[in-house]
Amino acid sequence: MNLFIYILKRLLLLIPLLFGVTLVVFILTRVVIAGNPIDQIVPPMASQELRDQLAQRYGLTDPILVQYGKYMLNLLRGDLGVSFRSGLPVSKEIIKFFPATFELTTYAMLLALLVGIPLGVASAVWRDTWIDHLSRFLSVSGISMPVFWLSLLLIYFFFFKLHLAPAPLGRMNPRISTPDFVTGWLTIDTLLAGNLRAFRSAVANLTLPTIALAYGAMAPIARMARSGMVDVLSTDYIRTARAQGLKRSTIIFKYALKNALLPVVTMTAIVYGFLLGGSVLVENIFAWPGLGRYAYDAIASTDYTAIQGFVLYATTMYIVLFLITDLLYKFLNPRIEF
Amino acid sequence: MKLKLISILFLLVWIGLGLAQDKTLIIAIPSDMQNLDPTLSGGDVTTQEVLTSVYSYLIDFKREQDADGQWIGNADSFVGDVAESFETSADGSKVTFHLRPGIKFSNGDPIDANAVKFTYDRIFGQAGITAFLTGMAAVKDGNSVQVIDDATVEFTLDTPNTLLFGNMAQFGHSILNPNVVKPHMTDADPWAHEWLQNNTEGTESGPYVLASWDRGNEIVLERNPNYWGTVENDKVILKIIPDASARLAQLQAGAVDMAIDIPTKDIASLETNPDIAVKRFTTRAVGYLGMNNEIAPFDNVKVRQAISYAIPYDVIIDNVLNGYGIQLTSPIPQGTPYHTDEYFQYSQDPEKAKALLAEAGFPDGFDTTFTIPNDSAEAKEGAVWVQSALKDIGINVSIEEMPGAAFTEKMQKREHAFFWANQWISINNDPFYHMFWLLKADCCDYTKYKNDHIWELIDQYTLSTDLVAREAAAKEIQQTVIDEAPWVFLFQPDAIITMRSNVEGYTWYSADRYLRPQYLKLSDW
Repeated sequence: MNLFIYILKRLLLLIPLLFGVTLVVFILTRVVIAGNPIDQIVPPMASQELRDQLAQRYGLTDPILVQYGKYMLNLLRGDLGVSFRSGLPVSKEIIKFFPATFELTTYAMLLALLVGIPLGVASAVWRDTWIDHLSRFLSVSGISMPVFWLSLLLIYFFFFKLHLAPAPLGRMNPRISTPDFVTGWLTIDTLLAGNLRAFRSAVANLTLPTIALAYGAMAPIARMARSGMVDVLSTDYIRTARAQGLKRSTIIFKYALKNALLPVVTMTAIVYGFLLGGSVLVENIFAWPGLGRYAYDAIASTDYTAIQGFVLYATTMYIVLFLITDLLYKFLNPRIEF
Repeated sequence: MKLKLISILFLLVWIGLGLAQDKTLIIAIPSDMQNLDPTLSGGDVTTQEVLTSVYSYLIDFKREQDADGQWIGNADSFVGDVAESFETSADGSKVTFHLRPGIKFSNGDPIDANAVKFTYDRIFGQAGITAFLTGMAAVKDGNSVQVIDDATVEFTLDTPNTLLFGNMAQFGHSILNPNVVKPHMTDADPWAHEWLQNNTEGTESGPYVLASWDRGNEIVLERNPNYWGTVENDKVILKIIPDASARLAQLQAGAVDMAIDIPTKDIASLETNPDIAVKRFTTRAVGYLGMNNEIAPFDNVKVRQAISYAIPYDVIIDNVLNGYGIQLTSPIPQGTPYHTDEYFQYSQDPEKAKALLAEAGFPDGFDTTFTIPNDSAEAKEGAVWVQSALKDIGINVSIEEMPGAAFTEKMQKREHAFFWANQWISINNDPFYHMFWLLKADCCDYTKYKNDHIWELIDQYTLSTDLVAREAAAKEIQQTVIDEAPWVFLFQPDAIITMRSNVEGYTWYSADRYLRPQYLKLSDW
């Protein structure tokens, strides 16, 4: 019951937070980002009358506080507004672009965890051996190597030179028709449709961008896992366990790992939340129709409603992820009380 | 039993072959489209490309082969499209269009005089750019478009002129299906803008129907079964690939048949590749540096001339365009009637530039700012050359980069003092149309050029059928404007089309530069 109240409290906190975020973004888009969305919807020859007429239709002539008020009223009804560029509801567009980013990001995150945690743990256990050096090398390069450069290298070698990977043409070979929308994840939808050829294509197209994103995401996770493990291994209870002659693997996997991984969970939430905002560079290079590109295009064309909608989405994502993290903490560490 | 198996096998092979011969073209494009309302769409190329593919107009540019055998759309010659033929009355006050008999929209409804009338009533009712352009050619309002019978429509021109056809052969004049569009017209949205900006189903009058539009990913066009003209392929996939190097790599690998907008620095390497065909055409786009005629010190004609004598034209064309372009020598580009370069006087001459600066009262030069949009690699590179050349004559330039949208907004307000102008191309290949927009119109005279005599000439001869006087006036305007130097006349860039060498039928439409993919096919089909 306490848990339920805790979740409710956290979700209620969302309201003032989102309120603040919308206010800041609203002012940023209208006051700080220069440019006029009307320029995006009419050709340069458009007369001033036509521009004024459109500005009025989109409510841009109202005082900014009135505009904000109207926006908030609509928001309370769950209406994020209509995009200037496409004329479609922003909520619909975000839902449309979300699965591509969600699928790519989740696979990248899984790969980063699968590689990062063992790597970090191993380098803590065998400190200053070759595996520790390798881990450090991978982490440092993962953090410092620009992701667009890594992406281009991957394309150059695996697609252009070795022909192992498909052309970076988005989520699937354009000559294969996309399966019906069920989950939005092509790796799942193609299987549900029983189309193995499409499934293979979806997996193949996912491979390079997943590796490119995972490489950068793996670095902080491996570092976190290493430092967490190093800390735990020097605690008294591990020394006691050792003194009692427990097997090394038992010590590490049964007693040390759980505590060592707590900071990794937090780091995972941060990295995952960051990636779910979409990676503009990776999405651009792999022609991936995701949210990063959506947000970038919205900013480049001063599409106010789309920018606002995207920031609201990203904020909500972070908050939900952090909430899940806190709940996971309780599960992993029963000493924590809410 | 055996026979049955064999026949099934044959059937499968036959189906397999049929599928393998699915005539699909994949074209890599840099960006998605935005708003499909033909009369109220923005300026983005992809939207206009798709509109041109899914709709037909009364008339279009004539497709023919030039002396080298290259297919072109002649910007100065018009043929019927939805109209089978058309004729102008002797006094030039009426144009009668005879519609092609028996043609249909994609949903089977007839394309008749009623549909044409509906289309033009909507154009004038909505009062957007298309209405303005039609009115500019003296077809003033809905009453000027009359239905004579089911297959005949008559346009009345208040003043006979040479602009009308050029203003009509474009997507704003897309013929719409009243049966489909009318149900979407409401009091709040009397011209069904909201439906048309995202839909075309049932109202397609062009070579293709919009089969799917997966935003941010791809646009799929499929052959319109009711279209009366040539369509060489069954399906065209416009694949959105924002990154230029990715488009290039995929063209080289054969993953796409054609790639749009490959940077000029990569073209040279493609020209030696036997798998790739590179086509080059001089465009009528004018690339210039704008100098605001009302902002000091650029309000001084001597300052503008001095700058025009300081710019290293060839160096900029060689480096910024990698040689893919020609010098612009007049406000009217080469390729447009009445263009002449006999008055062009500028070449890089720092001594003369310094002398002019001294005469203008700036013997020691001055400090100024050059404004460019930060989303243009060409502008960034060009700005550096401008900066270094002007330093030689004592003008210290600081480069101001603005985000694209902010740059455009300020340009539309005509507040830039000294700036990199986006390349303007006039869709109507008429010199007065071109000069009206760039040297007189409130929207697009970005340098606030003003000269009462020149403006009078533009007003007088924009609508005129006196071709001799028109040409004389055009020459006089060019001479004066070159001398008054509101722009640094920089270049006319080439259009470069890159495709796999097995793509045939490419047609260069110099007026609007759209692909018109219906003429494209692969040699192995």
